[in-house]
Order: sequence, then structure tokens, then C-alpha cells
Amino acid sequence: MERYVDGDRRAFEALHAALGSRLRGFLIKLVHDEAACDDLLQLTLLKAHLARDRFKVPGGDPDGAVQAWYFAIARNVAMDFLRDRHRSKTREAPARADADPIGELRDPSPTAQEHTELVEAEALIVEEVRAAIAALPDKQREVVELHKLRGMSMAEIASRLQVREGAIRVRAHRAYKALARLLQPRKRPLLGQDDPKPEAE
Amino acid sequence: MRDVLEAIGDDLSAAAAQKRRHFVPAALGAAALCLALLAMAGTRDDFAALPPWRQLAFAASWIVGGLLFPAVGVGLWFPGRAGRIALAAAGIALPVCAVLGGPAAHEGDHPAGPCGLALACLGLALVGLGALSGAFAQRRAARSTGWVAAGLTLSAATTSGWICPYDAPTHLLWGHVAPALALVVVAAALGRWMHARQRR
Repeated sequence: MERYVDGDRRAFEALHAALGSRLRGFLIKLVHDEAACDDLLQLTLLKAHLARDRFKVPGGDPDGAVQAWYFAIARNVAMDFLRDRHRSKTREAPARADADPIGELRDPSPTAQEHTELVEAEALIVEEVRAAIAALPDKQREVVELHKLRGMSMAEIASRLQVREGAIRVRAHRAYKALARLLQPRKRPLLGQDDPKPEAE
Repeated sequence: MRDVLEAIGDDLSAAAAQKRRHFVPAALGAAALCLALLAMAGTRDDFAALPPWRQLAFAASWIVGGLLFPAVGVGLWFPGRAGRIALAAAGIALPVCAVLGGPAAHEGDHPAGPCGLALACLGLALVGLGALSGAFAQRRAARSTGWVAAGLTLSAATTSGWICPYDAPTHLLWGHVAPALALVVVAAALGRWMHARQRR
């Protein structure tokens, strides 16, 4: 990624070869529309290219940071696409109902507005989870990112970080406990407790 | 899909072309400075008598220091890890081979001052040229400035080796190695400062 940011065309091609198909699969999973997927992938690559100077490696895992960055951009692109699609459906719905009396019948599936709210609520949850992960101590965050975001097993993480597997499991346990506390519904202030702090190692 | 990939590739190529437009005049300017010093001081009297492989080592050392190191430093050439290690090794081995490659022919006592001064003046002029051309702030990582600093120092040290025939160890140490080490430290510090200033 550093070389791509510095202008190496081959580094960009290698990055695209490594991430392109996975990003496409991720976008298909989000939008369920194969036809739109290529456009969204192009948009993702373009947005990443225009914002490449702002890319930073937050922890000690550059590969994971690059992936997380590209997938975050892809997710935002997909969310924008879904929002636009539902807005245009909302606009079209009354016109269709006037033309066709069957259109007035109640559809059991969520309305476009409900769906938009659902998508926005999901985006909010994603933001909260990302913020909670960012609040973890570095070593715990590294393990969570490798385990959950990159799908690596504990043994693979241990070998990559050159730490005993037991220690990785302890870190993961502490990280998930801290995440559970951070992501609890907002009832702690009502019970008179302080905001939870992640447990440091 | 090809549209965006081509557009991004073209954008990267355009950025590289823009860098090259600054790099080529700066490299020519650096070569002109070295040639000016050679014209003023003259080449060492035994240069023609040196074995061809030593002459080749001098030339290769200048190319490595004057072109390849700065090309890596400004982001025009991106060798892999092994390539970078080989390049750094060549940057040390070539001038050592060029200077120490033969029997000591001029071992007599010779003051280190003039050689050190010539190397420092040429080196500072080259570093100034690098600073003015923006070579220290082209890549995002600050460590890239080390390649430019080392390249300019190597060019100055090689040029001084073209001029001075004395290869007594004391003379080489105080007249060439010590000024070159001081120069690389100064150039690296200046490069870091300029990089930080540019990126702020």
C-alpha cells in the first residue's frame, strides 16, 4: 500500500489482484445485485484511490489495515447505493399505486422507508462496533481484527504474531469481554455506573 | 471494470511522469556540479593507469549514488526487499572496491584537509540541489529521505575518489570517510526536517 501511495502502478495492480474478487463478493453480499456490483467495485477503487493519501496503519498489521480500509469504503459505497435505491423506490411507489389498484394492497414485506431505517440502523451498529474495537488496547485490537475481520484461527494468529496460542486466547477473551461491556445497551448510566473502560493487559 | 483500472493506472503514470520532469534536470545538475569539480581539480594522475574494473567500479558507484539511490528515494523506482538490500550493499562495496582495489601506490603523507573540504563543498552543493528540487519530500515515508541523502553523499565521495590518488589509511579516514559520514548525517537530518515540514 505504501508503494501504491507513492505512485507504484504495479503495487496497485497487485493490490487489486489480491482484493478485487473479495471486495466483489462482499459487495454482492451487501446489495444482492450482481449487475450493480461491478459499478460499485469501480466506485470503491476510485474512492480509495482519491483518498489514498489519508490511509494510515493504526496498529502493527499493515495488511489487515489495508483490507479493513478497503472493506470500510466498500461498505459505505454499498450503503449509499442501498439508500439511493430505496429513495427512488419510495418516489416511484405512489405513481405505481395510482396506475394499478393491486398496488394499493398491503405488502407484507417492510416498506421502503422501514427498509431505509433498517439499513441506517445497521450502519449505526457497524459504526458503534468499529468505535468499540478502536477503543481496545492495541494488542487486543490486533487479535480481534485478525480473528473476526480476517477470519484467521487462533493458531494462525499466534504464529503470525509469534506469541503462544494460550496468550492469544487470553487476549481474545479479554477483548471480547471488553467489547461486550462497551456494546451493552445504554442502561449503565441509569444504574449509576461509570462508562466501561477496556481492560488493559 | 477496465475503465477505472486504466484511469487509476494512467493517474499513477502521470504522477510518475511529473516526478521524472523534476528528477531529470536535478540529476543533470548534480552531474554538472561533479564535472565542474573534476574540471577545476583535475582527475587523479593515475586514473588512466587504473585497471578497467576499478574504473568501472568508480563509474558504477557514481551511477548507483547519483541515479539509483535518488530514484528509490523519490519514488521513481520500487525494487523489492532483496533489491533494496543489494542496492545498499552495492553502495558500500563499489566505492570501497574502487578506492582500495589495488596496491597502495600513493601511500605518502598527504594532508586530509583539501580532500575533506572538496568533498564537503560538493556534497553540500548536491544536498542543496536535492533540497531545492524537492527530492526529500516525494514519498510518504520519512525513511525514503535516507536514500536521497546516501545517494548524494555517495556521488560526492566517488567524485573525490576520482580526484585524489592517495590511499594511505589515515588520509582515507580523515579526508574521505569522516567527511562523507558527517555529510550523510547532515543530509539525512535536513531531509527529515524538509519531509516533516512538507507533510505537516
